[in-house]
Order: sequence, then structure tokens, then C-alpha cells
Amino acid sequence: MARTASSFAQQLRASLRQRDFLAGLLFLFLGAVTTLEGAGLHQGSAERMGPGYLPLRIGLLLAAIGLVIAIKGARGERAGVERFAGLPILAATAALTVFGFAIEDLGLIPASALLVLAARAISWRGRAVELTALVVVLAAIVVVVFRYGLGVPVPLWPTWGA
Amino acid sequence: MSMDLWNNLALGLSVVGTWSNLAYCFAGVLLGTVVGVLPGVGPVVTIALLLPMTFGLPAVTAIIMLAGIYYGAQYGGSTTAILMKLPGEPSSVVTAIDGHAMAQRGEAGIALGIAAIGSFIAGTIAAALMALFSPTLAHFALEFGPADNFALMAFGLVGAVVLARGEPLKAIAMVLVGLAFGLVGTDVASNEERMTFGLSSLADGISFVVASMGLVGVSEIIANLEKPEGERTFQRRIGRIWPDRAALRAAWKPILRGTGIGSLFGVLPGAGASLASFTSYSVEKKIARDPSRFGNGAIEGVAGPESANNAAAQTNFVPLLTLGLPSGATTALLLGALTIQGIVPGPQIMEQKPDLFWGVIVSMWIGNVMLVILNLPLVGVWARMMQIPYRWLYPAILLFCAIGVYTVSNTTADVFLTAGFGLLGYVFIKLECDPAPLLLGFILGPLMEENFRRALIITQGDFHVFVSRPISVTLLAAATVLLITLLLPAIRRGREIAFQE
Repeated sequence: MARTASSFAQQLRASLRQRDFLAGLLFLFLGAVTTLEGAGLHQGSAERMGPGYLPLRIGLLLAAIGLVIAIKGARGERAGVERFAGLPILAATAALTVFGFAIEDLGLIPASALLVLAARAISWRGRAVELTALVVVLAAIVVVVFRYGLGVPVPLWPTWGA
Repeated sequence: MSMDLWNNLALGLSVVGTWSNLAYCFAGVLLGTVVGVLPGVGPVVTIALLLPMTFGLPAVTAIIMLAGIYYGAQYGGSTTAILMKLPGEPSSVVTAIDGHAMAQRGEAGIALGIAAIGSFIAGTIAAALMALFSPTLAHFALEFGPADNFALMAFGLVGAVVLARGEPLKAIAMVLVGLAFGLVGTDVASNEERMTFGLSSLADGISFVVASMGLVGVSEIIANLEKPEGERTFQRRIGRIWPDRAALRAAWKPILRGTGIGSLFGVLPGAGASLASFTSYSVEKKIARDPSRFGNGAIEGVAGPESANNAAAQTNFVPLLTLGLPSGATTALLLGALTIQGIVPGPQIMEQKPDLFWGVIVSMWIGNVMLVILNLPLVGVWARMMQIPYRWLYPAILLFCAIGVYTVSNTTADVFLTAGFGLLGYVFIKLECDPAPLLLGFILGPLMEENFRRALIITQGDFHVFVSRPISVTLLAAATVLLITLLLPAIRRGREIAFQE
């Protein structure tokens, strides 16, 4: 009994490195969320589809296909999944997040500078001069293209107090 | 009939011929090429990045500029494929093979020149074919009812699954994920919110700019960043650009064959530029006297696929404008842009907005002229741009993503959502799930739901409407057959081999 449990755990650990197994799990999860959301809404009938009619069915189908992919992936001798690169993920998401928080309160120029600095936080290669130049040039391009070229109504500098 | 054609072309010319439209066409081609040339920025990302710039323009001008961006990005992608062996998208994979081999032999200029000339010839012929045949197709499409539209889109989605890289089952799942994302927001019929998880920022649905920038733009940056820099093989020497007589003699037949293949494949819903260039490459290889030259810098291997690629890129607009059916990720983005402009593509577009339709056709040809004028003398500049280190580029791309997304909706929530989609897109890359079917499902999903609903309201819930109308039943049957054959193991193996080539 204990042995089957441990071999199951082993099998599971091996499967977790299988690319298609993980893909299947992801689809299963997305399908399950869609199904749950759809089930909570008015269904209606095929002739008069309610808002939940399609979500429920698409979700169920997606979950079912996800399950099939996961089972096939766990069984088959398919390629394993590569390592996820932590730093690049962090840099890209942090850069966008910082920009999102800064754009309305701090204005376009500081937000752009913060985005560039956050994005470059993982690759400091090159001198400080290079980084400064990059910030200045990109901020200038953005101001010229979006503020003056396209006329986007966004403040350039912090607006508090104003 | 032919009088009509000339009148229509004259109308198109009068639309494009204004200084401002010509300027935007040129700006589109230039920007598309400049951004498309940058390493690690494929055509899909280029278009997604530049889309927000067109939203403030009048509809006709916007679509003319978008078309320019589209060709520019395609050509820029071929340039990186030839000089750096970095195909930005599947359609330039085959160009990279022989084009880069030519570049290593010191004939980069000739490869680029032939690509430009081939693209120009293909673009000219394809534009003429479009002008001749799209009225007929649109006339035919006028007969389409909601049931037929639904069937057509279903067929298009199956086509996207067929063309997706990797496991077909995963591609089907990706279409469904796209459909699910497309459902997010307020249901048109009941006015009820669905799948918004109580977030007010999702009440209007997920903007396709957010989804596409995140899924293809941000995710590619993350994936590129994990590769060590400096491993790229770059060819400094360009050499002469204008091909000599021998090169032209070797290339003109492949160019014409590629144009034919591309024009045909571009019109088919679901098919697209990549399938056209793959087919052209294998045709050229098959009829070559010495197939072993392919892979080692055969000029036919550049001339054929590049012409096919460009012809298909253009005839793609036929199903896009007359049926509202995108054939790949790039045209799906264009469809989204049209929708934002308030233009509903469909067979009625030629009658309701003839200036738009014929303007686009004429602008295609003018865009191609500009592409040649721009590219032949500027190849050296493009080559230098390719040497820009990625550590300068990716902050710039992220910045343009962020501002682009923000300017479309003026909400910061969309910027955060883009980061989320970037993360998801990266997971999809790691799990080898092609994002193209997802984008297609995302854009077509709401349209399919509406047509499905309308079809059943007209017939008061009679499902026979889908099998009693000849167009609908044919398309649905074709889609079903395609789907079944795709899932059968024997045919799947053949497809895998074809994709490896």
C-alpha cells in the first residue's frame, strides 16, 4: 500500500516535468474556471442562448480536451519542459506594473524612465552612461511620438499639487 | 464589367492619391520595415506595437497605413531571416534557409534584391487578381446568411488548427481558450456580465490589443531574454544588390510560380502566407534539376517563397474584407483594428464603403512600389539596425507595448492585464502551444456567437438551418472532415514531416 503510494508520487513527480502533461493541466484549469463561471449564469436554451450557455459548454469541452492531453502527456515519452526563466519574467512584468502605477500620477516621462530601469534591472551590463542615454532617448521618442505626434492626452510630469 | 473595374480602380486611386494618404502609406511601410527589421520583433509583434498609432486616423487612412505596416513588417522579417537566419514568423522560415546560405557566400545583397523584386512582382499581380475577382466573391458572399457565416468561421478555426505548429489537440484547446477569453465581458443579448470575476475593468471585455501585445509581444521578450546574447550569426558584407542577368534568369520562373501559389493560398480561409511559402519552396525543390543545391544558397529557394509569401499576404485581404475572416494571427490583428475603426468587414463592404475597399487595393500596389524604392537603397541601414543590442531593444519594445495599451483604453488596468497575458504567453511558449489559434478564436468567438444566435432566432430554434443551406452544410462538412483527418494518426505523421521540411 505504502509502496504504491510512493511510486504514485514518483510517477507524479516525473509527470510534472512532462511538457504535455503540464499543458493539459493548464487547459483543464482554464476549462474548469470557465465551466464554473458559466454554470452560475442563466443557461437558456439553444434557441435562446442565455449568457451562460456558451461558457459552460466551451469550458466543459476545454476541460475534457485538457484531461486527454494531460493523460497522453503523462503516459507518453514526450519531451520534458524547459526551465522557466525567473529573472526575465520578473523584469518584464515588473516593468509593465511600474509603468501602470506611475503613468497617471507621475506622468509620461517618469513612468517611461521607471519602466526602462525596471526592465534593465536584470541586465546591468554596460555602463551607467549607456543606461542614462537609453532612458533619455526612449523618453524623448515616446514624448514626441505619443504626446505630440498622436496627441495622447497624458501629462508629461507629476500632477500632484496642480 | 471591365468598365466597372476601371472606374473602381480610378476611385481607389483618387482615395489613395491624396497627399496625406500617400504620406501615411509611406509612413506605414517605413515604420513596418524599421520595426520588422529589429531582431526578435516578428511581423505580429510589429503590427501589435504599431496598431495604436493608427487609431486616431480616419478609417480609410488607418487601413491604408495598416496595410503598409503589414507589408513593411513582412519584408523586414525577410531581411532579418536572410541576414541573421532569424525568421520572425513561420512564413520566413524557408527564406532563412537558402537566403542565409547565400548571405554566407557573400551574396546577401542579391538575396535581398531578389526578395524585394519578387515581392514587388507578386504584389502587383496579386493586387490585379484581387481587383478582378473580389467583386465576384463578394457577390457570392452576399448570399451568406448568419448560419453560413457561422459555418465559415468554424471552418476558419479548423484551418487555424491545421496550420498551427505542434500537436493538433493542443491547437484545438488553444482555440477554445481563445473562445473563452472572447466571452469575457458583458453579454450583448442579456446585458449580464460574464467571466469578469467581479472586476469592473473586465466589464467591456478583454481588449484584443491587450491580448495580442501580451501573448505575442511581452512573452517573446521574456523568451528572448533567457537566450544568451551574442550567439547570432550576422553577415556584415551585403555585396551588390541588383541581381545580375544570370540571377534574374534563374529567379523569374520561381517568382511567377510563387505568385500563383501565394495568390491561391492567400484566398483560402485558414490558409496563409506560411503555407504558401512552404509549398512554393517544396515545389521549387521538386522541379529543380539539382535539388541538392537547396539549403546551400539556391536563389530559387528565396525567389519562390518570398513571392508566394507576399502574394498570399495580399490576397489574405480578400477573405478578410469580403468575408470578415482572418487567416492568421496578423490578419486577425487587422480585423481587430478594423472593428475598432467601426468597420464591419463583409460582402456589403464593397457597396457601402467602395472608397475603403478600392482604396486599400490600390494602396497595396502603391505600398509595394514604396517598399522597393525604400528597401533597395536602404538595405545597408537595415543591416546596421540589426546590430542594435537586444538590451537596448527590449526596454523600448516593453515601453511601446505599455504606452500603446494605455492609449487605446486610457486605463491602467489594461497595462496590468498585458503583463498577465505576457506571463501566460510565456507559459504557452514553454509548453509549445502556438498562440495563433488562440488569437483567432478570441477574435472570431463573439462573431460566431452572434451569428449562431441570429441563425436560430430567424428559424425560431430550428437547427436544420445549419444543414439545409447549401453553403453552410458544405463548409461544416468540410470542417468536420478536416478535423477528423487531422486527428487520425497516419495523416498526422505526414503533416509532421511536412512541417519539419
